[in-house]
Parts: sequence; structure tokens; C-alpha cells
Amino acid sequence: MVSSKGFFRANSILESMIALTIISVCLYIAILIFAQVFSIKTSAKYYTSRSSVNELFYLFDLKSDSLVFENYNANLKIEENFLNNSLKEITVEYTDSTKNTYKKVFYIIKE
Amino acid sequence: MLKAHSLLYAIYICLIISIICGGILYYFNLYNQLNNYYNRYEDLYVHNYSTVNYAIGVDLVNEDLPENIENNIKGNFTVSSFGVLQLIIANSSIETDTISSAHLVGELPSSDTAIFLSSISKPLLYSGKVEIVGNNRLPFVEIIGKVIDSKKNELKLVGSTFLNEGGLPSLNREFIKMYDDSNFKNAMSLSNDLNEDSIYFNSFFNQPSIKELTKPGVQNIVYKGNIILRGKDSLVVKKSAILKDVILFAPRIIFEEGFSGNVQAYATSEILIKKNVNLNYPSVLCVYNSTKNESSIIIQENCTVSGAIVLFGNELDDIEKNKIMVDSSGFLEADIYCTGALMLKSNVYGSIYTNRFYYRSSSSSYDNLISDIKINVKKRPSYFVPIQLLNKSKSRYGIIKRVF
Repeated sequence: MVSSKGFFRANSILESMIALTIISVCLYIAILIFAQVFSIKTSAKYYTSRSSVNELFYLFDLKSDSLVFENYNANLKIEENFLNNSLKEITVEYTDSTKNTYKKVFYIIKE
Repeated sequence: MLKAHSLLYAIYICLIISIICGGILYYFNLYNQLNNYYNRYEDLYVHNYSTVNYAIGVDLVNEDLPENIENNIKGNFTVSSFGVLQLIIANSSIETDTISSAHLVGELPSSDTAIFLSSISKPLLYSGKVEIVGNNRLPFVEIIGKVIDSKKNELKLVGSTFLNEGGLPSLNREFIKMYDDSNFKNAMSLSNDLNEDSIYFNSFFNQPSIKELTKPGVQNIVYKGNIILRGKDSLVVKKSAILKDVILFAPRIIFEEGFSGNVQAYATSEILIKKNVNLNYPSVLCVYNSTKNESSIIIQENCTVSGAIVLFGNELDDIEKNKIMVDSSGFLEADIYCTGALMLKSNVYGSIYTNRFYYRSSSSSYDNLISDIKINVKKRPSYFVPIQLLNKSKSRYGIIKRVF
């Protein structure tokens, strides 16, 4: 505090404590915001997993039997439900390395 | 050493930190919005494709999909008809975003009949090199060779031949519905002035639009999409016209040399296709003649037609007045249905249903004779969805193509 004609005396310790408190509160808020912004839902891994679930739809359209029976993938849980003679309803659950599961339901024509 | 004034410095530091944090927040907010937008549209596109699959799987019957609880995407589809083809419009929507796609569909599977000849005729004769792959239904089991111009006769038959006691199977009802005037009630009219060098496009998401043509010529103009062209007396389509997915209606329709396009042509007295014309998939050539006048479909040399060729409506007494004449060096990847007489000089990859064949060479003409041609039903591409000629019970559907 600036002292001009002797109202307040300079008191460095109090000042530096207040300064430190303000800086630490600011940093605390900043870290909270960072934690929110860099969450799981915004990581690249999340979008990669969602894209791979969408990719499964196109793969199923091309070669559904080999996906179900041949390549056994522990992360992938596939459920086929035959609605009638030519239509399958497929529920796919994909678990990625962050242990989050993504679920998707779609329809495929059965040849 | 901390000195006085450090409060001021602290406030400066807070200000800088807050500006940096605010900047990062804003940046990541935009990044999130963009990613959510991409993800939402990706899910919508996958759901739309899945909706089209569902529509085909339930044979175009139900109109709404069971609701998807995970993403809140709602889907539904509508079915209408465009010519003799069916049109599916599939919509997927989530809150305020909607995606639509339109597809032309037809009925699978293709039949395995190569020749279906009705039993009012004499036995089928052949001359020259004839190859028939597919099952035949003929009035007499044997195909007899006849020597013409001292050519060597060679017959290759792959497939069985069955006896056929009756007439032709009845034609798909969609064909005769096309000649009904109530078809044009729903359509909007385009303005009637014919501007040359202009492009007319009508999306399949709208109602079909009709253009009544006063002059018979169609040249130097582009018509694409959901458009019906109607001529009062005749329509002459020249090489400079570009037609894609349109329907033509006129008593006489003529395609000039060199034309290439994709049309459904419905006539009542004559369709004439000159040399070197390509009618791409899916094209339909149809003549309906229920009067006592003559009618014909004439396809000259070196033409390719992919789709269906139909001539119907006449009584059995008038077979000689209704003819389909196909000249040599052409290629027909189509099914042919003729209640009159058919002369074939080009190869056909498809099924043929006719009341009678005939063959006219330079010297003479013969009844029920086929000469020097190949008829092969197995050689169509695996994605080929045939245009259904017969009234079969509903079988599976397949996508012909996507339209816009």
C-alpha cells in the first residue's frame, strides 16, 4: 500500500499474503476449468471409438457373418435379432481401452 | 524479495490468467460444438442408411421405425411411385436436424426364364448359331432347326425346357396404370415456354412436374429428375438433348441417332429408336395399343437398351399388327414382353415373353424363327434389379439407384 502522508504503512507480509491468496484462488479456478474442458467427452480417444462403432455399420453391410463368427474381439459384443426373413437388427457394444462402452443399434438386410 | 506493490502485480497476474483461461474455454467450446455437429451428422447418416435397409427389409409396409432410445434419432420412410418403379424417401431426424435420402427400388429376384412362348404358335425354329441359357417354356419341347441360306445350324441350350399350354402370364398392373389420366393430377406444371440451352431439374423430394410440349422436338436442353414430358402427337428426342430419370408420354416417341440417356417412354402407337442409341439403366420402353391400328417398337442397329421393353394391349387376332423389331449388332440387357410378334437380331441378356417370333431376312420371312442370337439370363450383373413385368406375389426389394 502506497503511503503518501502516513495513513497506512507499507506492510509487505500482509500484501504478499493477499497476493498469494488471490493468485492461488485464480489458479484453482483455472485448474477446475481445465479439468472440465479436457474431460473424457472431448478427448480424441472418444471420437475414435465413436467412429469405429459407426465404421462397424458399414462393415456389417458388407460382410456380416465374418464379423460375428471369425474374428473374436473381446471388446466387441454383437447381438443379432432377426426381425423377419430378410431383416436383421444388430446391437453393437464396443468397449475401448478407457473402459467406456458405446452402444449402437442398426438394421441390415440379410441376403 | 517481495516488495510493496505486489497486490497490483497479483491483480495483473490474475488478469493475464483469466484472459488465457477465457481464451482456452472459448476455443474448446467451439471445438466441442464442431465435434458434436460432426458426430450428430455421422449418426444421422448411418441411421438414414439403416432406415433404407429397414424399409427394404419390411417390404415397404410399415412407415415408422421402432424408436432408438440411445441417440433420440427418429426415422421414417414414405413410398410413392415414379413410372413403374417405386421411390422410397427415408428421413432421419434428431431435434431440429433432418436428413432425407431418396432411392428408386425394384423387386428382386430376377426370373430364370429365357424364352416364354405362348402356345398359340407353331413350334419354335432356329437357324444359324443360337445360344439359349436359362429355362424355356415353349409350346413344343423341341426347338427344331431349319436351314436357311445354307448356314450351319448350331444350338446350345443350357437349362431345361418346360411345356407351356396357355398364353402369356399377365403383365404387371403398374404398366397399364401409367396410361391412366389420373396420374397427372398430382403433378405441378412447369411453365410452357421452351427455352433452349436451359437446364430443368426437379428433385425427387418434390412432386413430379409436368411439361406439356407443343413442338415435337426435344433438343439442346437438359431435363433431369422428377419430370414428366407430355407430347400431344409425337416426341422426337434428338442427340443434343440430355434426359435423365424422366418420363415421356406421347402417342409416338422417336429417339434420333446417337442419343444417350435414361428415360421411361410410354407410347400408344409407336416407339422408333434409330441407330447408335444408348438407353441406360433403368429405362422402360412401353407401347399400349388396345385399338385395331398397327403399333410397333422398332430398334435399329447398334443400340443398347437396359431395363424393360413392353408392348401390350392387343387382342390375339391382331398379333400381326403389333410388332417389336430389334435389328442386329445391338445389346439388350432387358426383359421383353410382347403380346404381338417379336423379331430379334441382337443378343438379349434377360427374359423374353412373347406370343410369336418372326424373322424377316432379305429374301423371305419366317414365322417363329430365331437366328444367330444369344439369349442369356444368367449373365446380368449381380446388382441388376429387374423391372418387374409379371404380377408375382411380393418378393424381396432391391435398391436400383439413389436419386436426388
